[in-house]
Amino acid sequence: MSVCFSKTMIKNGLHYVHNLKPLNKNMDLVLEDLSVISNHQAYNINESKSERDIIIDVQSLEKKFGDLKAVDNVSFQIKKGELFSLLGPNGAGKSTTIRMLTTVLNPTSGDAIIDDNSLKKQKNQIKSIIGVCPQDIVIFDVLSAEENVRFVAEMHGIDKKSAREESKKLLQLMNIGGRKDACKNFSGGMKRRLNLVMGLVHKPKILFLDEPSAGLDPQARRLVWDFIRNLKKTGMTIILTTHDMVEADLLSDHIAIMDKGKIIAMGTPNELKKKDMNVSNLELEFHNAQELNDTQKCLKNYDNIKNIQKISDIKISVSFIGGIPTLKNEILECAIKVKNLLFRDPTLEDIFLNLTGRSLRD
Amino acid sequence: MSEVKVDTADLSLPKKSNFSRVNRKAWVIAKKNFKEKMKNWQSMIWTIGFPIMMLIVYNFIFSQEGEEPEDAYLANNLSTFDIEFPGIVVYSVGMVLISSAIMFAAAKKSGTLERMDTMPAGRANIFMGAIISETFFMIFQISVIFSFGYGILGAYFKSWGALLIGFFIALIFGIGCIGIGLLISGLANSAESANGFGMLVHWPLLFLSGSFFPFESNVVYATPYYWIKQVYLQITIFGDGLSDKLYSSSLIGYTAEEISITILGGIAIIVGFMVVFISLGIFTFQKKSEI
Ligand SMILES: Nc1ncnc2c1ncn2[C@@H]1O[C@H](COP(=O)(O)OP(=O)(O)O)[C@@H](O)[C@H]1O
Ligand SMILES: [Mg+2]
Repeated sequence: MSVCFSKTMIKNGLHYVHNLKPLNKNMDLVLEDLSVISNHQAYNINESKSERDIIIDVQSLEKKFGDLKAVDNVSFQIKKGELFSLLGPNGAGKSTTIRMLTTVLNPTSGDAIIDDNSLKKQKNQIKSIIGVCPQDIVIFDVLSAEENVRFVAEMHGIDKKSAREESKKLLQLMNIGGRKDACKNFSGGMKRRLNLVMGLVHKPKILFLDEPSAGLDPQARRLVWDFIRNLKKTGMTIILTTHDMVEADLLSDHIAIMDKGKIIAMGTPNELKKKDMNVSNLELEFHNAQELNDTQKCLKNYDNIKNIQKISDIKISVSFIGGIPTLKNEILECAIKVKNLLFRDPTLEDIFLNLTGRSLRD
Repeated sequence: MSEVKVDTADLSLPKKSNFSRVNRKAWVIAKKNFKEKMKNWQSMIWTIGFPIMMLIVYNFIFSQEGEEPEDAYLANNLSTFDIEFPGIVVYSVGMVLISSAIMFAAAKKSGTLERMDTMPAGRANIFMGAIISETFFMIFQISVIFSFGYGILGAYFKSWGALLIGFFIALIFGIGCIGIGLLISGLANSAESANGFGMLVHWPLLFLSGSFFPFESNVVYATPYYWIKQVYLQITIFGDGLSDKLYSSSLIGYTAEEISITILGGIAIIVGFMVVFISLGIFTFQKKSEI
């Protein structure tokens, strides 16, 4: 019997069969004893085309620090040329995931296949195709900006002349081309831009950006977003982490929402918001704080009210199950004196709130 | 149609280490390290400025008391300064122990090591790069100290050949000290503690080995510094050959006696010291920075 497999998961679905790697992925495989395969996923030839587009396949990745499971059984797939975001609050395990995928942290268990290389076994091949922009600024601070960037380029085997040209070009683009002094004298924003340039001077196939816009003012953030969008146009696959839902919403093709080491939701920004269709959001504005308090107390008695969040002294946001009509009675009974009422689309923030009961900013 | 056997044994492969072959990336790293080093004022002051200052002080104190009886050394016409000079070399080169400990601890703390770990080079190249850059720096440092000590202050040396051998012995010792630096930085979790830890190793060793002041005790043999100082001194000042015996005394004063180990034995001990500490340093650093 002949079965087409492009990907075979065996043994409780945790391990990828690495022996298959040197072979053509579309090759027909004859497996005499199919019973060795449990919990397998089989794709037919037609699907294997999209399968080949997958550049990162994270498989049950886990990292423990002592008793703490910083990353807990995380799996996801990223397609070539896509911008994929890990969205979650501080401590969710985003950086730990990135540090594992960028080969500097050994996973406690699980693996990832990055451009056909196993994270466990082919670290060096992976290192040569990735670029990393760490969350904390990491630069050689007695060296000049250009010396920093040229070092990264040369480490990736780019010859001296091209390394010099490429670093000059990128630094110009980032508005730090004129500085010849040690970069320890740079401003915070300049350092962050240098940190970014050092991650991509060698034109990596895959770029990891760990909170690239953290600590930047709104204007600088927009610049970074534009820069990332332009990078994406070059076909680079980008993995971004952020705790900013606006950023994730604006930039991403796919988002994985992380909390306490786990992925709690995944999809395109629109899919994620649709998932929440059943939940509606209402902003209520009152004349004074007293009215607000009374209403809040009253609304708490109803089961279909999922969450109440105070926005200001006279403003609350209410998430509830079902559409406006279902809420008529409650509104009538509790908030007769409401000054202003605003129905709004769910944001990623709402989704996170509904999934975890906590705000993303906590 | 072909047949593929699923080899389950392959699934439990041991964790592959981060170590790779040394290649030209080591030079790229060395070049970067060397640039950093030359731009670091603090490290320049400690490794070059301080030894020169000490040479001046020693020269000032000791060159003027040539006729006093306690200066009746085995060899005639030598001043205390001449005899002290090898100790200064040990002191200066040994400083690399502290500077490399600081360098590695800082790289670990600041994330630059982690950043380098994401680049296609591997730890073998990172260590080799550090050894190369520190060695080049020591060549520069020893040259400066030699020019100043022998050239300007006129410390005595037997011959140019002897001096060249002394130079290499100092260098081998320095590479061993990089190993101690690595060991320290593996255990320390900040540049500050690596600095303190380094001082705590370097200074007691200088005194226990009798590099600065005569110290007639069996303790000296337990310090690597004694061997380097003694071999260096007997080669550069007395022009001793490989089969000549080493002296017991830390400073070859009148109480000095021959010991059973020859210069060759001393060199073997210095090379052994280098190999052991480089290995131990790399091993410890790898072990402690594994996450
Ligand atoms: N080296 C480490 N040792 C111990 N705990 C760690 C280490 N690195 C991260 N953690 C912990 O793992 C969790 C996830 O951290 P991190 O991945 O940095 O989160 P995020 O990037 O999403 O803010 C946190 O609770 C953090 O304290
Ligand atoms: Mg983080």
